[in-house]
Amino acid sequence: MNFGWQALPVYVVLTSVVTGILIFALGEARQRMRTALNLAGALVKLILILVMLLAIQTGASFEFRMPVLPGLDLLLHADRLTMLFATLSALLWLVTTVYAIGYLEQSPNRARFFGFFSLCVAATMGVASAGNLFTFFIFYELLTLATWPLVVHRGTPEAFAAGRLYLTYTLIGGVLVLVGLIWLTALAGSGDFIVGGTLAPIAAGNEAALRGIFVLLMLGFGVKAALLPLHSWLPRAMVAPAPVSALLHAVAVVKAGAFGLVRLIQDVFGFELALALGLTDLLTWLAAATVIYGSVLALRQSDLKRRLAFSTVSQVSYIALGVATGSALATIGGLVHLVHQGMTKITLFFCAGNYAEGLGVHAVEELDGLGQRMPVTSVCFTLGALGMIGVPPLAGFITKWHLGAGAITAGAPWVVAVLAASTLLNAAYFLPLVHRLWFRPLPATMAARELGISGRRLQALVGPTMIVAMLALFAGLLAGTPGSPLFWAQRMIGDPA
Amino acid sequence: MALLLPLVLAGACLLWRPQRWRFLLPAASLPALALALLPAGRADLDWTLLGVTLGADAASRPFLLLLGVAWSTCAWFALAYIERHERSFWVFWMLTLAGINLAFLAQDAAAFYAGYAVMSLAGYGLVLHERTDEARRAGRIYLILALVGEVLIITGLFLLAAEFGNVDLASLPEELGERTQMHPAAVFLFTGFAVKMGTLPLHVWLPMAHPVAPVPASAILSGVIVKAGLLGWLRFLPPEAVGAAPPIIALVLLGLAGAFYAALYGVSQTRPKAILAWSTVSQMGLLLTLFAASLLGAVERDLLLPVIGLWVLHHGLNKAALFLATGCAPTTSRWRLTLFALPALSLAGLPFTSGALAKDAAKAGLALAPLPAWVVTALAWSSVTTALLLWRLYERLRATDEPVTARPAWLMLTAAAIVLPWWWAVTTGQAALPDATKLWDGAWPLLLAAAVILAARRSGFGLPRLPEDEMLAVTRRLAWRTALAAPHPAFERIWNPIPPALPACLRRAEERLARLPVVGPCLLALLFLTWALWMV
Repeated sequence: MNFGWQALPVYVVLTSVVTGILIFALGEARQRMRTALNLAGALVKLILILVMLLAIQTGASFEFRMPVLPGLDLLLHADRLTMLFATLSALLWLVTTVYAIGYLEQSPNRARFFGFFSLCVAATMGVASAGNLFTFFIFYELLTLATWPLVVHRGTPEAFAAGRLYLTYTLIGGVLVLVGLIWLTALAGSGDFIVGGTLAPIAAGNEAALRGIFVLLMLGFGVKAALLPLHSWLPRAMVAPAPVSALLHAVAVVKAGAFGLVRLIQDVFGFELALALGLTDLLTWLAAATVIYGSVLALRQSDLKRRLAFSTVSQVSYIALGVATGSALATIGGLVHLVHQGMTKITLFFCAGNYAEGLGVHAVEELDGLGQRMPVTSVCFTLGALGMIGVPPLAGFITKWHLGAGAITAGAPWVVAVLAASTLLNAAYFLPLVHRLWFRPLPATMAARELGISGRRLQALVGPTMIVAMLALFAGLLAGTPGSPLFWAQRMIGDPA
Repeated sequence: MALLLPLVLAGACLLWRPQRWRFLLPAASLPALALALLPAGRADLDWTLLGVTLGADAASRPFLLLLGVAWSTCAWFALAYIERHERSFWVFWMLTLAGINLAFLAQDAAAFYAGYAVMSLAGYGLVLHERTDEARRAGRIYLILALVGEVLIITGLFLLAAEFGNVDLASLPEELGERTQMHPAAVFLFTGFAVKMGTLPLHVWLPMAHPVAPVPASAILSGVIVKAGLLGWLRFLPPEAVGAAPPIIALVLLGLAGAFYAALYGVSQTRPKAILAWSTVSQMGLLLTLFAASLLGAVERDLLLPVIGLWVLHHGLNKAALFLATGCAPTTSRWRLTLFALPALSLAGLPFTSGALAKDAAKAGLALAPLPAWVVTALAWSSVTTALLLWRLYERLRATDEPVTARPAWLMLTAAAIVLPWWWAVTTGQAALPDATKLWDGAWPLLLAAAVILAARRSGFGLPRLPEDEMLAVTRRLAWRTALAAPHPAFERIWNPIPPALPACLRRAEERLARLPVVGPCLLALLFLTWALWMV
């Protein structure tokens, strides 16, 4: 055990835990203090992450190991994949905190909300920096529990129903992961996450068991990653407040599932072994089906947030699709989408929140002419929607380019057909919204409706929205710059650390 | 600079009403003009997108020249012409300009596609400008076809990228190397760009979009934007990509079929801008023929590339001038009529005009290529149909013209249309004064067309009135209601999602999936199934 510089990942996790606990301790009334604490926590974490990022760039490594049982360690480390996910989370957490402070102003139970909000991020950081499957599982389950109070925050019967469903799904998923984990540990011991995996030496003779383990873990992670047919909890969890939905979709829960799938293929089994066991095909097909199915259902949603939710179902599967397709280009595409989807989707959810708070707009039909009423939000929404479709120069295009070219090098041209269909479907469910915003006349009732929020709150909502929209734009436009998500993903593939 | 200025102006128009700095708006496309005239240079912007390389080369130079001249004069025209939704117009105008600038300057595949996609999507705002029901319908068709085109193109690019990465367009022919078979990407890329070029049968959007878009927007749409499809072909489909010859003759035929069909169909139309749109489809058919011939081999390509450049410049400027003419009541006075007649006759290939120049160069080029002789003959005959079509335009304009002020931008553009192609031909060594045979070659189609017109008037021959939306109308009449036929409810639902009902089975499945007694067994069954699959 080493609590010094090497243990930086622990402190990254702890920042959020401490913030969370302090917020609970402060209580409901002390609002200024809570805001300051929230922002300070988010900033400190971001700075720690940046320090780690620079250090890793110069070749340093971080590892914190604590034996729990003989042969079973709690291991936090930081490899490139960790940093990709952790940087995204820290950055978006800061922005979302600002947004949430504006969003929830004057609503009850804010201490509870922000407390769990911090714990949720702490768990996400743990998931990001977990160094073996056991640690991953611990934080994965903590994430489930920390998120539930956020989902049911509004306290309505509908919210509780969604929360129940969420728990049902994720706990079952957790059980599957646990069974898989125990089986794997019994078979091969507790291996660390290493690119290429640790299972290849024991594969001979254990094929059936390994396949079983893979399927268990895949389904377990698939629940959170909203793989078909385990996705139903996600659209229902939309009853949560907008910043929660945004975080849930962009970084925390859904991403943790997708991240688990990436770890499973890359660092537990190793792509070669998974391919040899015929396991990648299974995931590729499942992900491809989810991509299409999510888009088709999104087409039919008239509630804005529900439409976005089904879009997430579809888009997150790009990550699994890329990693399971397996060629270097496709893997880059999958990994980079981890970040790109986060930035783009959070933009869209912030915008949906702005429309809902500003003008009480929830349904797609009410968006007519809102480009005039809320121009900044509408520009951001347009950017987000185009990014999801994959229009250059936005981030989604970079993903699609790598996935498409990678699918062909991997000898799976049918994936290109899936991508093409998904592009058209995305256009079919996003462009009508953009059309409504800018080309439909503003109905008189909407023109007369007062903005439901004060100027200061509006700033707190629109500011973060602009920032994330710019992130989504520049992640694509400046993809060739050192330090861009694409740069990191390429380094990860080219030079496994 | 060429990219940034339009973008900055787009942002500025979004934020403020352009009033004091209106004069800047037409200047936005001048950097492109400068790039067309300056010596070649390349700029590597490694840090953007997938490594953007920009530069002007021999292939893109006439395109840039056309862009610089036509776009700025049309913008000048638009300053006075656009009254409603002014800001929206300029935002989309500038975005389209930024996109097409990038496409024309790009030297790598991803950047070209990026510019092309931005241009296509922003063009939607221009088509839809009037916000009428008709405009919405046309915009919808435009957008759907554009998106299908984009998806085809990106699929083709995936196929290229898998082999060559984000390929440098200049070195694409070498990368492709000698091959006897067509590269699979070629099919996707050809079809994708064909949408923009209005190649039969993907031309549907052109005659619908032009009549509804504002005059300056139609002018650049027909004059410049469709040419982006051609540049896409030239950039991505070198002879090396196609390999064997058999498909080429089919493309030549397709081009000629488009040229004649569109011209004849256009004669049945009544709205001037629809007639001009059909004329564009027809002329792009001829360009396809030229392009197809250039695919025969590296020699033919080197021979025909300057010809295509000249043709692009000639058609783009003259067609844009004609579109501006439709907004200036060209039949109301003698000098206006002259301004209208010059580009019109030029398109029909009257001797001494740039049209004759382009046609002669094309005939000479095609005659040298290993193609059947009738291709050259067909090119000559296309002048007859073009002349008929443009006479029809004149008649319709005379019938509908109301006195409106003529604008100086129109005069400017027409003058440029007369002078620039000649100047270009001189600098590229294609200019030649016609001898007697060439004079006769240029003159007989016009004389024949005049004879046909006279005969038709004498005999009181009435033209059939054919629907403007052509193929869509036919499909509707056949009650084969595709998603493209607007009133179809399924399509409406996608576009205006009234709370829709999921198909009952899916909805029930979705609902059931939300219940614990279903989820659990489902999961177990799935587990068991995958398990069983492997145990077998």
